Amino acid sequence: MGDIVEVVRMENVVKSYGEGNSRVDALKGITLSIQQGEFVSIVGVSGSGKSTLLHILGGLDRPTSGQVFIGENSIYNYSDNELSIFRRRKVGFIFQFFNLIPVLNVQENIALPTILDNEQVDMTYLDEIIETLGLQERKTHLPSELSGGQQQRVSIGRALINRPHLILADEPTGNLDTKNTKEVMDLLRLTAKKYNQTIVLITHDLSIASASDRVITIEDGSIISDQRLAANKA
Amino acid sequence: MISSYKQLSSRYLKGNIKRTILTLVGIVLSVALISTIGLFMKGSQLSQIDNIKKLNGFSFHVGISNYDEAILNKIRYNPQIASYGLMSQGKTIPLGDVSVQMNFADQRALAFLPYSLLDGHLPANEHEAAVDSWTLPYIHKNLKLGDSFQVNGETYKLVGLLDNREYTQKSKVGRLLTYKRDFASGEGRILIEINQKANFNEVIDEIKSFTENENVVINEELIRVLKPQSNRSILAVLVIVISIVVVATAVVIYNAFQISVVERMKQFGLLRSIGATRKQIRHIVMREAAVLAVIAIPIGIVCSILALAALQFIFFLVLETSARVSFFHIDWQIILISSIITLTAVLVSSYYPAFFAGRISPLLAISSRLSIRKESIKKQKNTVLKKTVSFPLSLALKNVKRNKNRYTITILSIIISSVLFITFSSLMNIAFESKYVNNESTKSDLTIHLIEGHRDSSVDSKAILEQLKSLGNVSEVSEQDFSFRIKLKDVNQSSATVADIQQTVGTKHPITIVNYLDENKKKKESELVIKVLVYGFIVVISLIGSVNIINTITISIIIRRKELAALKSIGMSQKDLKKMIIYEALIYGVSGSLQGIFFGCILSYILYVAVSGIKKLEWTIPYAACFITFAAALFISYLSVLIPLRKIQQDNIIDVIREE
Repeated sequence: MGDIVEVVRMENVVKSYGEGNSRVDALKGITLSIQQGEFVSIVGVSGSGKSTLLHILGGLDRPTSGQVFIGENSIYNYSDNELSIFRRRKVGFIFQFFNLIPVLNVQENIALPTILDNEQVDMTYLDEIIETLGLQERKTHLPSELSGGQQQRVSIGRALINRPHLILADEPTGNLDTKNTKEVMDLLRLTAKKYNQTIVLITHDLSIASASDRVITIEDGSIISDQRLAANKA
Repeated sequence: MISSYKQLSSRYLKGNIKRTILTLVGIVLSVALISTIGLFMKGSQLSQIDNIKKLNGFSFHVGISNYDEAILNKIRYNPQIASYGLMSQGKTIPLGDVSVQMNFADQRALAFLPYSLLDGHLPANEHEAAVDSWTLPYIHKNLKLGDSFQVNGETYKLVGLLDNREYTQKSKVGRLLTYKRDFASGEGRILIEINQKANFNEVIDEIKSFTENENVVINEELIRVLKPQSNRSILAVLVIVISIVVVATAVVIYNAFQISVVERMKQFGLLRSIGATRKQIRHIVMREAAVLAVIAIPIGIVCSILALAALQFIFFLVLETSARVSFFHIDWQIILISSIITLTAVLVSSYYPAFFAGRISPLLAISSRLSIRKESIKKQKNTVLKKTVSFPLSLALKNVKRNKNRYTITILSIIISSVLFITFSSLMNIAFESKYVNNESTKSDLTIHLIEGHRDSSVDSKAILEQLKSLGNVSEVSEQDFSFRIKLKDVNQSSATVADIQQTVGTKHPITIVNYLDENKKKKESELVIKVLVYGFIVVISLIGSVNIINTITISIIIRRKELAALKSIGMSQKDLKKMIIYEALIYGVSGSLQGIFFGCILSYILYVAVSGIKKLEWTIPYAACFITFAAALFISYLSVLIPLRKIQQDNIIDVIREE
């Protein structure tokens, strides 16, 4: 084991919607720290605020108050433009509904974050990802020609292309059957280890949660439990 | 493999080919409209210039009489003057009952005169001459082109026939035009053609400063059509017309892009979530606009050229002498300007949708909750309506009213088309009526005037009428103030009939006979040109307007496919759905055309005020145009839902609902 490096730190993050009577507090002062290489599951019922937490972690939604540090930087001091570039380079997102660009084929969808950066795509790395994901035969297919499991693998590939430190997944298996769920989760774990990435994952599936390093339970906008599962520490 | 995010634009365009085509059609129509109007105006200006030259018989801009060598030199060395020539009138030589007046012109003056020529060519030397054709029998019996004749002791070869002007026939003084090389200083008049590019007003003021005002004759009519921009009223009309069209274009394009962006909100949100900046999203949308413009503009220009060619073809069918109507004129300047206007309109009007797309929250890609909030539905309290009207109608009313923006955008195309139709048809009517009312002379082919001094009760006009009627070639005769208007059966036999009248009536009464045939022919021709122009133009405008309406309504239904499928899934019958959509279209048609009629009338009044500076006219509400607009808008709205409706009926409900 190397040194413990802190990747993510949230300090007293509050997020509320609306004003006055109709004000809803989605997050009520969350403080949290995640280390490099950790595989963290966030669980909670619908409306508990777990998705909002993930969005704020990924620089998608600005908190009402509080700070979020990724590495050394407080990301909400960034301008909108810098925040976009931060997302593109430092974070990989995986969504429940895959969210691929329907007009781009498999390899273009995977390479999109690099292309958005106006960078040359590293074709060896791209091929490596495609091979790891088992999509060699589907390289030039459009998303509409793929099954759900294949589409989710493409979106994992897209999350990996810029070698981000942090991968955020919002119920990545929510739309998949049991067989595909297992395959996708195995892939995620495999790649995270391979590239030494931190994963934060929202799930309803207790079997997925129990396979992670740490389970954070959220209820009504607050963390009610934060468990490290020592058994899974490899 | 794409190499830049910018290539996403063309992928999106190819990916949704149907929407791309609808947007393309919108831009094609806009550019076609602008360039057709431009080319139409240029074409009608050219045919007007031609007409005026033909009606007047000459093409010089300014004439100066009583000039001296100093003035002639000032004209000669003035760079603003394209050409000048000298022309003078000589003695009047009696030939029996009538006489001819000698006219001399130098080579450059003759260049201003070919418009008076009926047949043959203008004289090229001192021994050639052209004369009014009605004087031929007086000069020499059976005189034909190419024959020689003697007048005033000189022998001339007849090379051309001049058109029979009314004044020459009434005064019984014909014209004999011949060439003269050297003019004495101060002899006759200087005829001037001003350089096309010069400022006419300045040059005319300068010329006026050379001599007394009464020595200067200005061809106002010709200058007015040559330099329309020097006239404030015409300028106002032009500005109004062009602004309507440009605004209409911008709205159509804005509409198309806004819809295409709203349809892809989730896509843009997704791009944002994986790290696209606002600027990159804006670039994608603006690039789509630019690509569409680059494809659509040439197509639109080809369409407008085709429209013009069709018009020229109609001229060809309608006019005997269509070769002389040079209406089909491709002006590259106008094509370039319309392309630039359209390109600018496309870029400007896609900027807001692009800006809007850039501001889409990345969260939209993730949580579908947000997309429901995209339109705030207006709540209504009109419960009475529900009970009295059918369910499809009340639903249609709710659909129409619930989103003010979409409603406005959809009816805007109807309003604009209606406004265009009403203003243009009334503008054309103004132009048309002012030119061709009170044109008494066109009502007769020949007119016989009793010479003044002999107009008293002793003249038995009934007897003359009877005599005239008994002539073989006369179809109709009417009498008014001691003159008789005659319509001929065969216009080609007019000269024989003139001789007959001289022999029958002319021997008993002192009369003059005026042959209006040539003048009438020219007037009728120019009237026909204007008519074809007016109706051709209105047809093009209506066509473009209709396609525009069809385009907008189709888009407005297609983007609601999912919602309509949901209605069907909860049990709305096919028939009720159809009714609802048709009701919606009719509501759009009624309210759009009513507003269009309102604004169209206002605008046509404004145009009338602008034009009335030139010509005094009465303004009335263009009832006919209003009624046509209303009926056509309803019909087109109805037609335009039929195609998308058929497609929606074939949709598989579940597929559409689950579609992303």
